[in-house]
Amino acid sequence: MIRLVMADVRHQAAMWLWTVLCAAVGAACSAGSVIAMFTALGAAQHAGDASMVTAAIALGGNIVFFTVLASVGVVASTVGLTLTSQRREHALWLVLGVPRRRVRSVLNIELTVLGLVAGVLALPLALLVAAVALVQWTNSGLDLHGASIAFQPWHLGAAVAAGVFPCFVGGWGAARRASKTPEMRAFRENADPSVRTGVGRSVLAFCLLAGVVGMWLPGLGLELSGGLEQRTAFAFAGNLFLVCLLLLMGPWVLTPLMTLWTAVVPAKDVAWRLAVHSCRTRAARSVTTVLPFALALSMVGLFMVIGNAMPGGTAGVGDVLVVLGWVFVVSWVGGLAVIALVGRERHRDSALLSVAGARPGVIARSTLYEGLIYAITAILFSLITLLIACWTIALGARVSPLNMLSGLPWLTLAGLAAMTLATPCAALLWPAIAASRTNVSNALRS
Amino acid sequence: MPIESNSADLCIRVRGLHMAFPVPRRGKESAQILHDIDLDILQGRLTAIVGPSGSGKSTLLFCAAGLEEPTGGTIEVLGVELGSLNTRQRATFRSEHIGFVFQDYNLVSSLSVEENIALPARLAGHKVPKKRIREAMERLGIEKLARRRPDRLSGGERQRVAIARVVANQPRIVFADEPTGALDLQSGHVVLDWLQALPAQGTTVVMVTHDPLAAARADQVVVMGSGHIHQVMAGGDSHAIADAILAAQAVADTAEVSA
Ligand SMILES: Nc1ncnc2c1ncn2[C@@H]1O[C@H](COP(=O)(O)OP(=O)(O)OP(=O)(O)O)[C@@H](O)[C@H]1O
Ligand SMILES: [Mg+2]
Repeated sequence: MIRLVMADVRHQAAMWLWTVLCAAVGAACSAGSVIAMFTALGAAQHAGDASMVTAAIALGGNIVFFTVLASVGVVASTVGLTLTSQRREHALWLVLGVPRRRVRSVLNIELTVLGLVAGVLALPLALLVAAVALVQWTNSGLDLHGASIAFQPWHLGAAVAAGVFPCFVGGWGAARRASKTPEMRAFRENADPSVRTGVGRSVLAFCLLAGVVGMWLPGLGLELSGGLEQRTAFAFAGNLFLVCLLLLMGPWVLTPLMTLWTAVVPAKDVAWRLAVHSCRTRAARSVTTVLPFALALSMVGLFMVIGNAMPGGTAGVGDVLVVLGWVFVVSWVGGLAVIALVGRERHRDSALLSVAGARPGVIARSTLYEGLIYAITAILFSLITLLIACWTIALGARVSPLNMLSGLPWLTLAGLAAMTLATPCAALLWPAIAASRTNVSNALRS
Repeated sequence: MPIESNSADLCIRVRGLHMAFPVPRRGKESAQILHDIDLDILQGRLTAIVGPSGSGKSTLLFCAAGLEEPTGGTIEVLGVELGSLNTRQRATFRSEHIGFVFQDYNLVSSLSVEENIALPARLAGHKVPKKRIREAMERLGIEKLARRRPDRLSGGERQRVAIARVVANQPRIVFADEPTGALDLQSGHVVLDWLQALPAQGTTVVMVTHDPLAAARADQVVVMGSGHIHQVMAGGDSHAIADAILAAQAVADTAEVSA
């Protein structure tokens, strides 16, 4: 069995490497921001500076919250996709006579090893992240009393925990499914299996929904003792929950969004049609690819809106970067990792297209267009959440939503959107060239 | 060796074809798969290629379709020398003139049945007449499956979609590599009946098969053994074909022993 697993991992080496990279970066950012926060806190307490303690908790807590949220979300979905895309191999194990329980425990061991490796790799990166974070905080006006990062044993624990936890969150469902899917179905289905809500997801979604309602009721409806500022804060928190909720329900939000807008665009070009069909068919892959970009963009949008609403608030790119910088790093690495995980069915499809007489340019373009579709879906999603945020936060702050809209730093947002467009396309450049050069007979023989 | 013919109705003309694959991890060493093949295939006929496993039938087919570049020799298809075309031109040539039916994995997994059938014409940049696609699906009894994706079809249904694609697009040449290899008797007969009917419309069909009964339906049978053409014979008699395959196998075995 071990030999089977090792052969499997070796066969899919590139895929596992990308997954490890994604998990390691996620763990480094989470653990790094935690380490930075506690180091700053320790320094402040040591110096007996009470206002610094509150500042460290406020800023550090925010950063830790967003970074951990993003990296758990991104890493979990990537790991889930990695396992899901191997369901044929897992079905083969079942056919070869490996008991179902065994398959599941093997997958869980794989996940643990993956998380441990990622965590250990993440440790030096996490220290680097923490050091950079402290410099950023100092630059943004916090007096850290010369706090600096020195390795402590608990840092390793934090890194490993940050590595293992998201791997399990993402892999649990896939491992369970792998051991439960009837062999023949897993064998036959090239397309992604249809997603089910699952208990964990339902509970979490319900909590988030409760959060949205619980925040928006006072934020938009009640007169609060804290005045407008408190109402605005409630409205903001409600939006935060909303974004998380929508992304958690990605298969039911991002997929319809993608289907909808690609259906509206006229499709004369063959390459474009092929790309649209490919994105729709491989829905799980598409959602996983869109998710990181959508997450990062909508968070930024939310921050810009709240910065615009709070009198004297912060909406500069620099401030957003301090809080959301690591979210960006995790999201971009995650998005690129998913894009790099090209499935076997894609090779075969490219080969068949080539057999049917698709010119190399058509195959390359259709691959690139897939990146474009992912990016535009992410941008549309964040635009929608931005509009909702504008409207609700304007209600909370009792200003006109239109004023709010016109006050946003649109140029910066446009720049970010352009970056989002460019990233997947650039990442798909090499796969596109490779796809257009697929050796047909090899691809059809494998 | 080739059957008497004037060059006017020649569809595929192979001369001195060599094919070698590099042996992995052995540097410059290479394995010779096809040795000096000469072959003429007539237009509007059904030609079967038979022979033992590993004798190079699929490789020959891929070379003739311009999917694999031979290491030596020339291949002329419909009067066009494939070696003189670049990758892009070969792709265009395929989309205009050539159809394929493989044993499995015939269909692009992200496209529905209907779109798979329309694909070659789309790639060639033609307007696809909806009616022709519908007709082809009706004739093969798969009109109910039009919107399904290939992974929700049985092997026989997928094969019928591949045939419908050929019927709808009417390519000049159809290459079929073990088209009935994975099918039950009944579905296999449906596929073979269609492949046999195509030459009546002027389509040239080249079919690789392991089944002497299927090969017997062909006008011309090419028997291959270990990278050589062992014999070219007329179709009709499945026993004679089976004997020829066994003979080719025996020759290949003795060649291997003496080598
Ligand atoms: N890409 C490749 N690299 C190296 N060797 C190859 C490659 N493709 C095919 N071969 C070898 O070429 C030989 C002929 O293969 P081919 O697929 O043409 O046989 P075939 O006659 O179609 O066999 P079958 O009836 O089993 O399909 C085989 O020995 C095979 O191992
Ligand atoms: Mg073969």
